[in-house]
Amino acid sequence: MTLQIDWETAWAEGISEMNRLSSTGYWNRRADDYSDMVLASDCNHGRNILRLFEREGLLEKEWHVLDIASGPGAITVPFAERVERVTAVEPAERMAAALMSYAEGRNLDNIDLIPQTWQDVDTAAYAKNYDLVICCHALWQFPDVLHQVRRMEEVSRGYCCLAHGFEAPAETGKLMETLGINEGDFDQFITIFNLLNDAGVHPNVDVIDYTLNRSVASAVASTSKLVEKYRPLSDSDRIFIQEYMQKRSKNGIYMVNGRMGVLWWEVA
Amino acid sequence: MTDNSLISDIDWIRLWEDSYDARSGIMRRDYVLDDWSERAEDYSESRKTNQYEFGESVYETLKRHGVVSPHARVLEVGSGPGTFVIPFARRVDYVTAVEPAEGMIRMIHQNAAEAGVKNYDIIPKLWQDVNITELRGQYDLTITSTVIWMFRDIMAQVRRMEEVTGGYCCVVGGLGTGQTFEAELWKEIMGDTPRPQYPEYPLIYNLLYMQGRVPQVRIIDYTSMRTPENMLRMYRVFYSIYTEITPEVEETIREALYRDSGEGPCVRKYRSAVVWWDPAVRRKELKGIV
Repeated sequence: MTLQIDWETAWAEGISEMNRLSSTGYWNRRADDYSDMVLASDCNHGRNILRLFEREGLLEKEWHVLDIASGPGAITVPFAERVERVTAVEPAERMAAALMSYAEGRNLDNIDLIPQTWQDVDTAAYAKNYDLVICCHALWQFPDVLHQVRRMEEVSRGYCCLAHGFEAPAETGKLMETLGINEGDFDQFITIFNLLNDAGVHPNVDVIDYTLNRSVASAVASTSKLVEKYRPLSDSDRIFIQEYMQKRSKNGIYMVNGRMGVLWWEVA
Repeated sequence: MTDNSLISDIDWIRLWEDSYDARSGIMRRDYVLDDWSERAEDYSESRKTNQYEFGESVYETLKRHGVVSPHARVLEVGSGPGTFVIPFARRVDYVTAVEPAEGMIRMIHQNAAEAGVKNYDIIPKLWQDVNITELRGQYDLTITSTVIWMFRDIMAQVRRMEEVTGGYCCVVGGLGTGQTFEAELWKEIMGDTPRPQYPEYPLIYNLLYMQGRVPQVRIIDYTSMRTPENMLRMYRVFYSIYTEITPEVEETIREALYRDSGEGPCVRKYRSAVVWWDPAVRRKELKGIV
């Protein structure tokens, strides 16, 4: 039974390597290519999460949303277009700068920023302050994930929402295999699903398709930096990645489809 | 590289079978159809609480997500007193109930007549005995609730459910409620004998996921209300599976019910997971980080 499995330990062990390799510095280096992807995709995965709350009849104009590890705004921007205010928690300065620039370009003045890691945010100062607290594709930052989820519940007066890769885009898997990069096959989604259920949080589950578009330059930069997390990039790697992206792009845009698992619940 | 052996090595089917066997191990006899006929009245009262609140809530959930439509033909596996027959048949094209217990079948007819529902039929068999050859692809939704714990060969039965639908499958499974009444009563009657588990959710989610399905979930809350006499009838059947129902056992149940609810109806709050999936959609194995 699930009761016999220590999901918290499984989680902490499963994400340890990714956590070690993906520092704030790494994300500062990824700010440009990641922002390019979010913009070129028109925040596709964030918009799909927004639609979920709309379809459920829950989204309210008066909402104040907290987006943990916002990056350049894939969640923050679509929500800010529809609700009263969004607060983004983002410690990587270049990501935060990209977010604010993106928001300005969209004439959004209802976004504010907490320039800290979520772990450093004083939750007592924001107790029950938000209608929706979202953390998308970023839970790997938290070895003590249940503690961090409980902190999210502390600042939410409405809902909490965690989004994860349900399955990686097939393209990405094939590419990494060719480059000899093994990112492991730790399944964050099913682990966090079981961890929450074991802890008495029984989340609703949605599986949502998304499409990511990015320029060839962004795709090349993203893949190169990902390889550099594991080993130095060789000249032949550079040529291979460039050709790979070029060949698979259409009109200068490289596109991948994926699915994410969205776990969300009403906070008691 | 992360070591995922802990999770990828979990044999969910084995866990399901172990749970089934552990329960069988403490049973003095197996359930028979007469047990379910005996349960027809209390089960019906429970399902009819707040105008079929449970079935209505499941219907609304599935409708909101496009799983069921007015044109849908629905097959319910183990209908009991008409758990989904009545709420669904009012809004869909047709419902077929698979239900083997005579008492439950009578109750479906009675409840359907009361609700003015005529667009249904009943296959009076155990689901495991239904020949699905002629049913293959005939329905748009196969649905079941509070039944799958009876299937030791869970995936074989799930696959049969999938074969008869050209649309979706749905399993509604109960969640622990944190209520202590059941555990305390079990201890009073059975002492230190481990209490049998009926773990449908989230175990079924893991099973489906690991077998490549893409299930979605909504958690629903609902109320069940039953007279003390119907509660006693339910507990009499339940405990007869595990011990002899002596006058002392019956008195223990009566007293516990009286302590809990006095002479009025017993009101219970329950929570269930509505799990649905499209059998034609399969998950690709997760490799690499998104």
